[in-house]
Amino acid sequence: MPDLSKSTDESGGPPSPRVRSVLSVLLFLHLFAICISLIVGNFGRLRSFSALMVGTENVLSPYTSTLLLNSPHDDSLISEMPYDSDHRFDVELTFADGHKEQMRLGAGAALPERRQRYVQMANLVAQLADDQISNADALANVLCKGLLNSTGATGVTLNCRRYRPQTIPDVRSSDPIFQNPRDPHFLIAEEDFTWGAEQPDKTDDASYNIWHVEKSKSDVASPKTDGSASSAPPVKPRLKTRDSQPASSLPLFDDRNP
Amino acid sequence: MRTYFQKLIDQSGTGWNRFWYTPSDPYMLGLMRLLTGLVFTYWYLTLLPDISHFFAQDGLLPLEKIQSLRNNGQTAFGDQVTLFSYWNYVSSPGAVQLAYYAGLLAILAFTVGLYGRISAALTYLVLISYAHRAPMLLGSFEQTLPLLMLGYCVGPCSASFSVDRWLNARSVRTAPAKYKPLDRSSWLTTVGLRLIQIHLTLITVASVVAKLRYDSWWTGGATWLLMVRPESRAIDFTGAFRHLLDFTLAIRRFFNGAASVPEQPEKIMFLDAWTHMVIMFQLLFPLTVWNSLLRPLVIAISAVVWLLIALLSGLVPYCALMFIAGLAFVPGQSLRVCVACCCGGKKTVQMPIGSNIVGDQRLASGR
Repeated sequence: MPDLSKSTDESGGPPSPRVRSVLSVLLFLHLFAICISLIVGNFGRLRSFSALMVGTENVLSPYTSTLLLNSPHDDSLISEMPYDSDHRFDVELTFADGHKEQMRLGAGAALPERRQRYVQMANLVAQLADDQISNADALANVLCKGLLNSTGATGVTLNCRRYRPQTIPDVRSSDPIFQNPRDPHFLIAEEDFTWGAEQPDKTDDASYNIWHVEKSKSDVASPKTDGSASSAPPVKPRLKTRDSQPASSLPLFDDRNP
Repeated sequence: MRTYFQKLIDQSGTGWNRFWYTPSDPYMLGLMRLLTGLVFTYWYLTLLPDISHFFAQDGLLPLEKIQSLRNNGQTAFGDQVTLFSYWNYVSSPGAVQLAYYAGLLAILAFTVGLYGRISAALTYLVLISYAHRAPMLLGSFEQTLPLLMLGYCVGPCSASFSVDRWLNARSVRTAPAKYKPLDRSSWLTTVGLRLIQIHLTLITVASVVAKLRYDSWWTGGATWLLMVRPESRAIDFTGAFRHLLDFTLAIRRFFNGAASVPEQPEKIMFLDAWTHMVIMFQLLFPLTVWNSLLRPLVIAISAVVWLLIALLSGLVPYCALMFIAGLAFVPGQSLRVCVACCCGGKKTVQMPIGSNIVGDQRLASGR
């Protein structure tokens, strides 16, 4: 057994007893913080925790969240929930001169890691909307605002669309439609989430409105969120037509359908 | 009773000290740093085409909206803590590009092992800044990497397979009197590797607990569902499975008669087995990897399992990272022997000064 009682430098033996004591306390606290974070993150959706547990997590969270150690690591890869399917964003932009453009976010990304960032966002938006938590529209709000900023459009319709997973009969079918999982046939129209947003005056942030397009009321938009949305005009609930200009002229997106 | 507690405290303390502070060889930590750096560099390069579109002032993810998202107490993205990100201070496309390339420099320095802990800390900062600026873009890879980076920040990660080591070796000729070998055994190596080992164990447990909550991992359907995700998957296996399915159906019809075999089977046994294998592996990994006898087998199996998951799910960097983290259980001296055998088949393996074979064996055995 190595002799741990002597103080030596980094090259040889163990640290001095004082250094060891301090380090041991830090290591213990670090591992304790990670364990609490994992437990709360992993079971937070299923269980309600004691006040002691919640309080402890709150005390430790500045450390874990600053160093990005607060991830629950509960990624089950697949969970058979509706939001577990892949999603995509279809976008319709309306410009000040009245012309419209349609596009799909991240469609031109060839590298899987690049494409997955957009899919990750779309899946998250769908999950928040599915869960119907209080601010389920928050991320869609960020994206609508970002789309208006980055494209110069005055209006946007953001449609988060869900793919139906292929089944074994689909894969065995001789019909090429069923063999291409990106075919529109696999999009579940009833489970789309659609938001409309506009900012008629690009210099005035107060003119920005966003609203959720209700699925059940096919052509009526219900104003929602972000303060000043009360007088929002209705928008089309679905992206149906392809209008004049090609979206590939925009920097971020193109509308190629791989 | 008093004797019992005295003994308990003494033995726990001794065991704790031995677990964390017995010096060990940094050779494996260096290889892990190199591999992690390569994966991270690739991942970071894939960000290049979108970086301005995401983070610039007129980008897709406006800073003020992200901050208001946080301040709304959206628990999915964190809490009220002010989270640092250097991306918060750059807004023009030029500044965003500059910040990106500065981050790339830090990652490259970390990958090649230049200024070991400093570049590791800077790389960690790059990761944290990205995550805090765009939490909605975070995937499994970005969430797992910090648990390895901590180990690299603590341990001498550039003591081998690095520019630092090369410069250190050169200094034997230039200033032999001042020469101190960089790859000597140290207790900081042990702390770094132990952190990675424990983090990996915790992640694996959390991951398998999450999987066991869902039916698809019990009924065997998870593999199929992963395979048919059109946007996420890395490779489309469905064509190969169509042929496999036709082949197995033909065999079954040959032996059992056409009438008894359904035209459209609802399940494929092979996929069920694949799903159960993933669960079994993740259940057994935290238990078996600490056993020195089983470890080589577990690490070898992990390579296969993570490769298959990577191909199915498309999460290639994440799966690579999980495999690399598992290498923390392989003692540095075993790697030295392997490298010596591969590179010229030397009879004797040069051990680092101050090497502690007992320490490395303890690191390997988890005691």
